[in-house]
Amino acid sequence: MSLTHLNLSNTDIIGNIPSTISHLSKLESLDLSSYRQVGLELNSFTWKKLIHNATNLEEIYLDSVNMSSIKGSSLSMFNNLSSSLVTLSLAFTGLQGNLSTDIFSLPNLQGLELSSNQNLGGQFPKSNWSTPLRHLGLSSSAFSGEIPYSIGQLKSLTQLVLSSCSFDGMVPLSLWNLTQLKYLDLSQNKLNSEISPLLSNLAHLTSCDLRGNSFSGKIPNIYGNLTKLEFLDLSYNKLESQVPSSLFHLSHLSNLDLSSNKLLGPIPIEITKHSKLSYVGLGYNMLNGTIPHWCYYLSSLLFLHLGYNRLTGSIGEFSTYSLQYLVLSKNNLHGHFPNSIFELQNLNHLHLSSTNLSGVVEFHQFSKLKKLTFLNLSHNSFVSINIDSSADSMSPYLYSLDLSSTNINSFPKFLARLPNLKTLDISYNNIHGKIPKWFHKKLLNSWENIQYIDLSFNKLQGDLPIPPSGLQYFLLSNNNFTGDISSTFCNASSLKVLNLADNKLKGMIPKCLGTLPSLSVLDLQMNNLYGSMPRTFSKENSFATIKLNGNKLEGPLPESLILCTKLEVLDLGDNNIEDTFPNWLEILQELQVLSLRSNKLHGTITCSSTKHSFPKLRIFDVSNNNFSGPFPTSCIKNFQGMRNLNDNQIGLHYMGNSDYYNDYVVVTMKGLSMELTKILVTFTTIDLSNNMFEGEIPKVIGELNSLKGLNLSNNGIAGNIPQSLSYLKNLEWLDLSRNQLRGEIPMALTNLNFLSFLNLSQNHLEGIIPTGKQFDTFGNDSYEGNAMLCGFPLSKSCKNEDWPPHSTSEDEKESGFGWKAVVIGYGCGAIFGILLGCQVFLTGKPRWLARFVEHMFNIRLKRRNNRANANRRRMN
Amino acid sequence: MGSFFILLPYFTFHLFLFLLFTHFTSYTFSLCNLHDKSALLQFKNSFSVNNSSQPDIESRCSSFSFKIESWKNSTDCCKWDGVKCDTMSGYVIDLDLSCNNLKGELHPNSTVFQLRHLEQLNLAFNDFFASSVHLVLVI
Repeated sequence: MSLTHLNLSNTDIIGNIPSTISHLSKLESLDLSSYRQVGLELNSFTWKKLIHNATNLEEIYLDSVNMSSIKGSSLSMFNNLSSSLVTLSLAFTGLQGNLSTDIFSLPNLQGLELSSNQNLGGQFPKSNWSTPLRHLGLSSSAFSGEIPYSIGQLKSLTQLVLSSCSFDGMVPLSLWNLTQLKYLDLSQNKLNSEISPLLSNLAHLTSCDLRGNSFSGKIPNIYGNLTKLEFLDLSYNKLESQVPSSLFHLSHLSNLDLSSNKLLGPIPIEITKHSKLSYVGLGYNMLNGTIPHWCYYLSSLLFLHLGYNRLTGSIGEFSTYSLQYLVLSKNNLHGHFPNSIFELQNLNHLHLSSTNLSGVVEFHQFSKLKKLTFLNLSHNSFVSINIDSSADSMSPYLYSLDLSSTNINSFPKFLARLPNLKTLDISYNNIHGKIPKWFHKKLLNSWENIQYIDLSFNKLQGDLPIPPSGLQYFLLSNNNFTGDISSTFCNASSLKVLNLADNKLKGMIPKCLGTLPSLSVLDLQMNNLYGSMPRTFSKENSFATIKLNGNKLEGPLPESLILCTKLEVLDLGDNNIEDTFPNWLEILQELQVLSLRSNKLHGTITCSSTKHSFPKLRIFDVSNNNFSGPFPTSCIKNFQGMRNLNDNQIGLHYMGNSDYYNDYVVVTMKGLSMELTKILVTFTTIDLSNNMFEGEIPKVIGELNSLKGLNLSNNGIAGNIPQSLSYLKNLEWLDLSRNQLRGEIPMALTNLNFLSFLNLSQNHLEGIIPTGKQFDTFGNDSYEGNAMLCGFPLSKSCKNEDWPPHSTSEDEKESGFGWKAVVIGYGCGAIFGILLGCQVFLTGKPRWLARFVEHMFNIRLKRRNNRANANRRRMN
Repeated sequence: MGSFFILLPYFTFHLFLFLLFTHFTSYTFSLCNLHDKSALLQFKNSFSVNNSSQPDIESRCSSFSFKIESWKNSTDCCKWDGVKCDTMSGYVIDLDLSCNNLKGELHPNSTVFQLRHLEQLNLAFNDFFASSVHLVLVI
């Protein structure tokens, strides 16, 4: 055959490329590529023969051809590629292994495209890289390490695409000498250091994408030279400077994304008359000042994201109606809701949550926005949304509506006319009364795409709505729903999170809930449910959180719980469950929180002696039961999850990954019953209080060195306080009251530097109370009821000891605000501070930030009657 | 009116000459190799041209044409859209039917493979119904 050019690209032909293709020895150009993988294969034998015979080949395009059989040593055949080769394009071919540097040094090669070969790596030439290469594409490949200085020798390079690899270190300064570059994409790597001002050398640059690296420091204000720049993306870095004003004088720039950095200062107010900006992303920074005027009149603007900053002032009136996407959420804006928003005919996304706007919004105005798909007005407690005003024809495309915390007090009727709802959030409002009948009908018959419904924190009454089959998130907690949970709930087989907590639900829990395959959070706590908990959990279930506490559940614990291999939180506290200790749960390798408090559990607590029993348990609460027998040493000594946790190493992480659900739990902390809205991964407690445990405290407890709280009060525990307790360096509260403890208080306990609550009262302890450090902060009630104890702070002084007078404590009691109160306040406050602070700084999820205010109110301090008697005195 | 009848034979003669001339250019002076022409026409008939184009392919073709529609038995195949011949021999040397919305299977006995002097073949962006490359590249 005399064929020199063969192009069968994108023709849907499939199969193994026959080796006879190598008979085309005159071939100069071969294109069998495809923009999607169709099933063409090229094996290493054919490839070898082809490049051996077709020595005139100048162009090879085999993108999406499966060449995955060419790996390891057979990759070396690339070294035999014809030196006449001008273009080699092998993206998405499944090539694997390490390419030698030779391929980069082919003397005539102008285009090399090896992108999307995740297991293909190699080395760049470290020197002598002066080739006529114009295009180099290696995105989503296994190339890594530093970009070598030699890249600066590729003087003809116009396109450099090294995105989504693992390049790290600094960008070599030589790269900024590639003055022919038009297209530069280094996004999604680990490049760091500052962005060099030499960037201004690249006068031909039209597109520059450096997103998703670790670039830090300033953005050089040097963009005046880059007159051809159309696209600039520096988002998701650690840049700290101001927004460079020179960017806004570039008349060709249409796409500017600097979001998710640490940018400070105001947004430049001056902009060139010829600006073509259509996409402006400045969200998730720390920008202050006001929204610049050009945002309102620039007629090219389609996308404007200024959310999650510190912008102040009011939102002005728009005089151009080009905008399609507008995000101003989470700023310090105030003033009236701008009416001109309703004139933005092309708007499809509008996010104005947490903007402190005021005034009245006539909701029917939104029906003017015929293309609206996404509307978020949440957390605007000063705006009064007139939801009753008839919204005749809202955009039929509206699929996401968030009106959480917007002072709505009736169920929005216009929802009935939305055909395509996918997510609905009207939580944290004052909606009262029953859910209208049309909503039940819409749910089951019309809204085929609905995935997310949040009606929680309202005053809704009556029966629960039935979730439709496609629903994934059904959040109805903290309402006044009555009635029972229908077994038709189980038709919602896609459910991931079902939260019906804090209602007045009665009846039994449908047995079938345990068989929903995707359900990961089942929260039915604080209702009036009775009967037994679901007894059949299917294999391969997804449960991570089961919270059924605060009901009237009875009967034994279902052994099929051991099938919940992903279970992290099991809270069955405050029920009437009668059973022995479920030590068979010890095989759940992910279990971190086990609360069985306040039930009718009895018998001894023992575990198998394997090291893998309860390996991750961090909160173990069996208080207020009828457990008896010796101290549960066999369990406690295996709690690997309570050892060697390091706040600094782990960082302040919280449990759970869901944006839509917090794992929270009630624990008794420093004598107070508290609800932790989010559980720190390093939060570790053991509560065995109010049972009938006997025997001694084992020494081994000193190995649980991450323990923050230990409560053994009101048992029959005898013997001495072990010295090893002093190894619990993280201990913040220790309650051993109402036991039969004897002997002296170990001096070593004064080494517990974080101890802020100590209760040793009502025992048979004797001798001198240790002093120094934290022990100087505890009051009488820490020790009372121990007839043989003496010394500070008790009024009984020890023989032969000369303790200072105690008159000060009397004075303070009268003043009502003594040093004890300060200390207790400080201790509790510190815990609160950490919990709250970390929630804000570390989650980084917009949804969390948006809900920050609500969570503040969620950290509720509860004093439980049965626990508080002793503590009330302290707090008063 | 009379002058029209006088000139009529004159017009008729010229019309005859014109028809004769066009006849010769299309048949007698055709450059196209007849074997190649019949191979191309058979190739054309083995496909349907899909007018309802797939949007994803369309977006990748800078222009979308139906070159093959212009192929008529009565015309010189070297002047057909997408066809180039060797100016001396008249053999088809270049066939470019890319982005032509051809639909159908490409068989090993497809007449396109009878174009012995073909140097450039471009059939990109058509739909050959997952034809086996083994059968397509009968070389």
